[in-house]
Amino acid sequence: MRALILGGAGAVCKEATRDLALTSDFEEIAVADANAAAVERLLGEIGDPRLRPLSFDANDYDGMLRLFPQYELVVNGLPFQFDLTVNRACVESGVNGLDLSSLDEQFGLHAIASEKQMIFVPGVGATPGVTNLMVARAAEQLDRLDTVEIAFAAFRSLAPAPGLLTTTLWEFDPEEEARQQAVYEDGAWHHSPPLSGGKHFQFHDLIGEQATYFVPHDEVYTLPRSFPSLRRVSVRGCFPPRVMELMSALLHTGILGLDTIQLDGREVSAMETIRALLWQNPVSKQNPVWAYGLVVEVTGERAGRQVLHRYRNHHPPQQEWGGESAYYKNVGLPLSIGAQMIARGEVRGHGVLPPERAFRVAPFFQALADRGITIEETVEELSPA
Amino acid sequence: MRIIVLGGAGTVGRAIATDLARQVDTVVVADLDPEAARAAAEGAGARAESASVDVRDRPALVKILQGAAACVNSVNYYFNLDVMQACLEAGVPYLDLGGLFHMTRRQLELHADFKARGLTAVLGIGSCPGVANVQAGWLAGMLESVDSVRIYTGSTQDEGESLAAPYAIQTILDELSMPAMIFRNREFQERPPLGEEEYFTFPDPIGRAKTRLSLHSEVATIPISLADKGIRECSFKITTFGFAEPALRKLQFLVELGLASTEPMQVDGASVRPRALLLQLLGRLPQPQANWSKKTLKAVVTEVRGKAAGQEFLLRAETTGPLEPSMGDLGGSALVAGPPAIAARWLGQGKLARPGVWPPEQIIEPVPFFEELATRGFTTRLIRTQTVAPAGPMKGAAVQAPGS
Repeated sequence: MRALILGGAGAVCKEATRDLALTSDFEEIAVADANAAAVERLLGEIGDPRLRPLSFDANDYDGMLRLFPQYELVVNGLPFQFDLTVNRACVESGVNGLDLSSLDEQFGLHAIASEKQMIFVPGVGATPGVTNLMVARAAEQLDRLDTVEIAFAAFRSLAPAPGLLTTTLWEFDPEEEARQQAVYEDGAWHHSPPLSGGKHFQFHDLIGEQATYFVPHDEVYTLPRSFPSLRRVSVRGCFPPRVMELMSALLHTGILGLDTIQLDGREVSAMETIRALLWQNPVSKQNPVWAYGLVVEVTGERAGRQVLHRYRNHHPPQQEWGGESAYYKNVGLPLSIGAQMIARGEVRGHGVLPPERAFRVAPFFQALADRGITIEETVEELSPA
Repeated sequence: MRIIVLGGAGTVGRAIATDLARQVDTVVVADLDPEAARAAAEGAGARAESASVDVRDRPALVKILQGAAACVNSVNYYFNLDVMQACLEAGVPYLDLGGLFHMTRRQLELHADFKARGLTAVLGIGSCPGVANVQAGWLAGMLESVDSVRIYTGSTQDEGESLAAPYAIQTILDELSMPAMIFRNREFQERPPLGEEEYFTFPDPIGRAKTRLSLHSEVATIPISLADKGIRECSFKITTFGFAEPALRKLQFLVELGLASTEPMQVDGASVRPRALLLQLLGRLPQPQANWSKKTLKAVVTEVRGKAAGQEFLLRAETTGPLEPSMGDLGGSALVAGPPAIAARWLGQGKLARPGVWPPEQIIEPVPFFEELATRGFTTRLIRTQTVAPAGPMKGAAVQAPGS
């Protein structure tokens, strides 16, 4: 079986590439990335003859249609702006695939994908991804799900890679359309501005307690559809305190909400200017702790009693887990695990399915544990009285 | 059913009598001070009557106990053995509120006597010990093996600095001055009083609070009760003994000066026991006005680590509730008073008919007990934490990004 990994030498996805080389039995793993030098370096480091470099243009849709049918699986690690295009090309080519985040439009391809007896799973990283499966784990044990609160702490620098800087800016953009539907409550999605809905969560020991805020995230769309009894779903997130301070300051200047600004008599894009400034600033690359914290709290009913299930991830510290990789592995390893489960046919159906409907939880979490990521489950219930 | 409450005019004794008077035919509020006993009986309700007794006067004590369905011993723990002997003589089931570790260990030695007499004695059935022991037994029952039992108790703090004692001042002074006992590496070990400070997260609104070791009888019995489960560690920690933090610091200072000592010392040619002096001084302080708020809360939390079906678990039981304002100045004692009232009634009803001397974790049925506490406003929650998939040898360890 042959796999194609898109953006496979990028900051996040190279961890998936490494893991595929180490743990999968693919005959061939083609690593496609716009950065040919990065691919060459990565392949040299890994030294697995099954890895093959491939030039690839993410903007060439016809090229995708020619390339994808040569593989049995497409692992998409490109920035989220390409998710829909890659998903569409997979469905059109009839090739299974998965990616790291999801756009709602991707699920519009479900019917065609089902007809073709193929599967595409959007959002198989940390969040979405592991978080969806935490909710699925609770659902396995509850008679009814009532609420889901997801919190993440992305402890990385502000701009370790261009795609991740874009993600950060996106999460603080007050004009971002997705913010109109950031929180699900009582059958509808509601607006939430950046830095709203503040709540403290206790993450694993590398991160500790952090203030988190509403972020428009994929789980808010997929979970209420997968578990229709849900009355409320929200995702809150945070970055390291220094990044949060900086982004908060930028937000309060109002510049993140502007389309354009005047600079030296020229009209330039406000967001692009900020992006360029932050990208060039060495401080944007600094960060003392590289880690990823997830907390998911699910309330519901079991045997007539109200129960709270709380999930928390744990992973080795950066000193033992490859420095900055301690952050990236939390996203890249689930992608590799998901890819291998799809390749082995360990999926629960066909179509375009979110992780909570595509994968069985136990083997997925066991595969995470085998790689150093353990999931802690806490169940709170009232006394029998 | 007639139940005797010894020390029934004390703070906790009154709360027990008040609770029992709602449930049984007759409660006898017995106290050394006849006036105080009368007042306490009047306050407890129509089914309460008073009696005067000195627990050191064995014949008088046996006489008053005869025919009772149970004896609730709420006098100072120093007299626990005396009262137990009187119960043996009178043929009355016995319970108390604790023996501060060392006394409890001596009381357990009466097991054979109680067994031979066909009587049941329950040691330490208040909140701590009491609720904590039942929690520990409950959680341990869900596990095949137990590694540790850690007990914590705390309450929302009064903002005042009053040194007025929230419960038996003699016991508090002992807790502050006597070495704490812990069970570690399967051995009982001494630690300095108030040692091993630890910030612990209680349920809201108590939240994160400083706790410290204290001499308590849970540690005396739980390691023995759970020995067959392989228990290696047991400890008891408390926040501020019901004082506000500044008041506790003041009291600690007085204890460090030696004012809690019971050893006589010569002052201007006279023999003075420092503790007697301290008690005199504390007794002169004005009693604080009860100032209950809805936020006022007490919590007993027990965490048990162990294994079941090959998996490691952290089980946590939290019993929390308001310091019941409807009970006025007895509200703070409600969680201490509820358990002995429940156990006394059960003893009287023959529900605890297993002759011998037992710690609560060995004789009290947890779920009905927590259900009874719930009717008094105390909620018990069970929190189970486990690792979903235990990590094996780590895959991917061989491939690390050099310098990444």
